[in-house]
Amino acid sequence: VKLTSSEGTEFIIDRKVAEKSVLLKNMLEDVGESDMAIPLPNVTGPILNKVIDYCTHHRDDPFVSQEDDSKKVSDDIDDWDAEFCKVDQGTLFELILSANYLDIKPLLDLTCKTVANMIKGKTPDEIRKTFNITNDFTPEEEEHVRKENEWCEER
Amino acid sequence: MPISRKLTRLFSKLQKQKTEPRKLRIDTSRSSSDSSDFSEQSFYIKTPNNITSNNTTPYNITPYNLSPNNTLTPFSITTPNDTLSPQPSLSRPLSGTLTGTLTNPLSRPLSRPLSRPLSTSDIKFIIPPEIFIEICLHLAPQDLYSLSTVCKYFRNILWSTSTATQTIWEKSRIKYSNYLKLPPPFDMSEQEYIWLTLLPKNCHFCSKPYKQYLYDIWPSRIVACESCFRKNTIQTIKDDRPRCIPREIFSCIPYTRFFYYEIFVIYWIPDIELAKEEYNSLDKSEREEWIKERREQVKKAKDVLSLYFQQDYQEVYKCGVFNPRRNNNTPEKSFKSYHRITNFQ
Repeated sequence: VKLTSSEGTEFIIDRKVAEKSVLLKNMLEDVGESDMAIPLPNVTGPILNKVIDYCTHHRDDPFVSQEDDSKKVSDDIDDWDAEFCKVDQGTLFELILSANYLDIKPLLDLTCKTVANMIKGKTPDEIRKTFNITNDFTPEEEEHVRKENEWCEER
Repeated sequence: MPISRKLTRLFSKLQKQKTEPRKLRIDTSRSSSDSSDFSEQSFYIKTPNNITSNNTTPYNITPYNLSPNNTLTPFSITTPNDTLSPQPSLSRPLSGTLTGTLTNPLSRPLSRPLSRPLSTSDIKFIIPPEIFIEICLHLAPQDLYSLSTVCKYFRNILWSTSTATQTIWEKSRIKYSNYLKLPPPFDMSEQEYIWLTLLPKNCHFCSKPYKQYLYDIWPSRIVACESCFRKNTIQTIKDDRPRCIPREIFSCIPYTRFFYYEIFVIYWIPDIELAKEEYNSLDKSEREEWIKERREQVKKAKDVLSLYFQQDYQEVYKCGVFNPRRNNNTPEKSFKSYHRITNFQ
């Protein structure tokens, strides 16, 4: 199967690898295999490369159903996956978006878990710093928020 | 937040439920037999009509999402199709359990997003809401709480009473707490329920770090430390009227109890004051009706809330916090382990 990233770079991958993505799977089922490259205008080359890495590594994994999935806690990321997610934040977000776009549920879960782990146990200030978020509450609003939850906050 | 106001709110909730829709109704479907609405995970909030009259309450969850017409309000976070998102084409929702219904770009007032600075490094522009929800489903209540105080965008999402938001908190509650098995009581949202049970760290009265004192929190929803509890309550024996409560309103005031001494009936002083005030403000003709109504409410609330008390009781019992031979039943060490277990299972 041929894929084209947004810059026009071509990737040739196994059908089995491609079928990790529900989007591609459905597409292949609908049109059948052909020599035409499938354009993926929403995914850049480097990201697509990463995604293909992931799909290749997990090509033999059984399809995880929704229910099993909900039972997992967010710490159980295996070593390869953890290594895979050691990327900068921009890349990580782009991975999330591509996983969503290509409909690769395990990859979406993995990346979301990674982000969740980045949030865990942090104070609001630390979260802002981590994700470079500006505090856009007005002072009055902030006061309101603080008062409202006074008794939930650690001192 | 002065305690008196909090109480007014709590009590007014009990009072109003008969005639008016409650403000923080999550979804009526959960308590009633019709559960189809909830399972569909529709992204609509039912906004009761009395919302504007009520928004001095401390848990002002809805206002950010409130639409001017006060009817069905679509979940008001932006959709990926929103023209103001810097990478609109990238975020086309394809899958996920919570996508699909989030497609109303008109649901947010246009003035706000326009005034926002566009910066691609900002998480909220990159991450579409349905993915944000996915991330939230992996977080513990404490983290969700922190996240909600980070910025307006997150707060809008996490503070709403929409089904999607309720689902986030509910999942988190089920996953990270092993004792909160009951859904929230009739007058609380998931957020309120979780705050009251899992998150309190300070006494409502003195705002000092709170050490659990074992009494039934449900009738008045006040979390107090031991000394504030003593200062703000009147203890009596069952059916024995304390002098400070006029005979007429005696049965109209909610009361609490200790975990282990059923014989004591405990009244919160602010509750008594409030009831007195209300009673005195009424005409003689209205009073009888008020007493009747109030009695019913107290009784009804007691019946419903006893389940929640049982839930707390069992948890404390299981964790071995209670030691009948001790003079005060607030052992610090055991409380820590209790808290650890409930928070991080």
